Amino acid sequence: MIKSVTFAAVLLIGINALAQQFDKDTILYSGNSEKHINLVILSDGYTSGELSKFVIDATTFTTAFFNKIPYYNYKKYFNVFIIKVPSNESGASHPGTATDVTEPVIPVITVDNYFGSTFDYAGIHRLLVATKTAVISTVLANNFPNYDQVLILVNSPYYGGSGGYYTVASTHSSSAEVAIHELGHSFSGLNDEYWAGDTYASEGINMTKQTNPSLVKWKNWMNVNGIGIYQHCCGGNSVLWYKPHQNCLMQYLGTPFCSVCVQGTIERIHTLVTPVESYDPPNNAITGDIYPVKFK
Amino acid sequence: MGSLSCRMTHSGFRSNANSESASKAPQIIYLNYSVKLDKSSGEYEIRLINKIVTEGNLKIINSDPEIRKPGDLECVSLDNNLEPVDSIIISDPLNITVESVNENNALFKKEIARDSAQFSVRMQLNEKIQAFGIKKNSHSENKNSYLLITKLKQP
Repeated sequence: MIKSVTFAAVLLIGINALAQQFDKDTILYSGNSEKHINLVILSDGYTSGELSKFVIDATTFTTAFFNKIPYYNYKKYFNVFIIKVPSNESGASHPGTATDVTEPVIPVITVDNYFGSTFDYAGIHRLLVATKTAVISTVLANNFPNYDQVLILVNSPYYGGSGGYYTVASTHSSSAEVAIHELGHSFSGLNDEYWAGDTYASEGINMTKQTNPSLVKWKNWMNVNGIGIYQHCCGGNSVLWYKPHQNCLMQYLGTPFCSVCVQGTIERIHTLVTPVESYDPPNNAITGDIYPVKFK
Repeated sequence: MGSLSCRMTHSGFRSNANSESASKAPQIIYLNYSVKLDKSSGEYEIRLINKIVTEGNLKIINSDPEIRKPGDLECVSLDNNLEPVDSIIISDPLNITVESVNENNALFKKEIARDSAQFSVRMQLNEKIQAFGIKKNSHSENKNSYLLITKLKQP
């Protein structure tokens, strides 16, 4: 009992010590944070001397993100902010314990980074996870509490990333695709269009058991831009489930979102922020007797 | 190191306060917990790591997972009488799903079981809320079913 209380006390002191303000920067500013979707990028594995590189890396990710439709068309709905969290050491840990490859694929190293980012999580080489959940949450609470989406950008050139509570990506050129796929889940609420297993099958924007073209939820897209009703494959209950496309980013990296996922993402954007930022004259009713009334 | 007191921040960022504010500005609470599996009983031991109250409005309320599992937790905001005000579902922190890519650049998902973990809750505060209870999602609304209750004014 004493041991666990001590552990809790040490943990509490450690977390509170981290409750501090960090330098921030703006990568994209479209307007008031209350009226825009705020994507916040946290650094991990960047030493204080490498934070200028973090700005460049975050800008590179932001460019990749807004090159994807529909984000490309809806860029003005977003702000992108970065929180410059310095780490004691550069990079991400690589314990060399993955069982899905012949280790060491890359040099084995333990890195003292701020959010505990490590490859080989759960024995999977490319599974790059920021392990210190409470530290991440505390930094967000003290620096940008009303964030809408979070990405943790890890200063490692090796390919890796993960989804889950927080999206994590390395600086490898392909990692942005993983992150954008993960944001398809966490931001847009999209299902996978590859068969991830029975556990993950559910009715959603881009997944259904409905096979009737006039009833399927994406019926308005049928036979447009490759949209159809495609049976999932393979294993388990996959034959019971259907997806709208055969080459969507929710299935394959390096591809665009299919039209159904694009629509779902746009609808999500509109549930969060209104397309009308302000109006003039600032009246809620039409008054006066001079017509036509001009609005802007 | 920094303190938890009010401070001005970058334009567009919110100010921060750790204690109850006299202002009527909307507030957000962050609750960070650790959870450990008691292998003998199979129960979850949950401890509060910290709580932070800060000004702000949430556009995205932590959405419930599409698929609920038996180990999922529920964070329930409670009034003075420990009656529920609002709640959110927290995916089982000891049995998480991760998604990544394999050596063929194909996406995959995997369930990972852990003996201990941390999890975080972010909720909008209102005047009614006086405490937060964590319980197994599968448990009833009985007040005794909470694994841990954190009072808002508790230091």
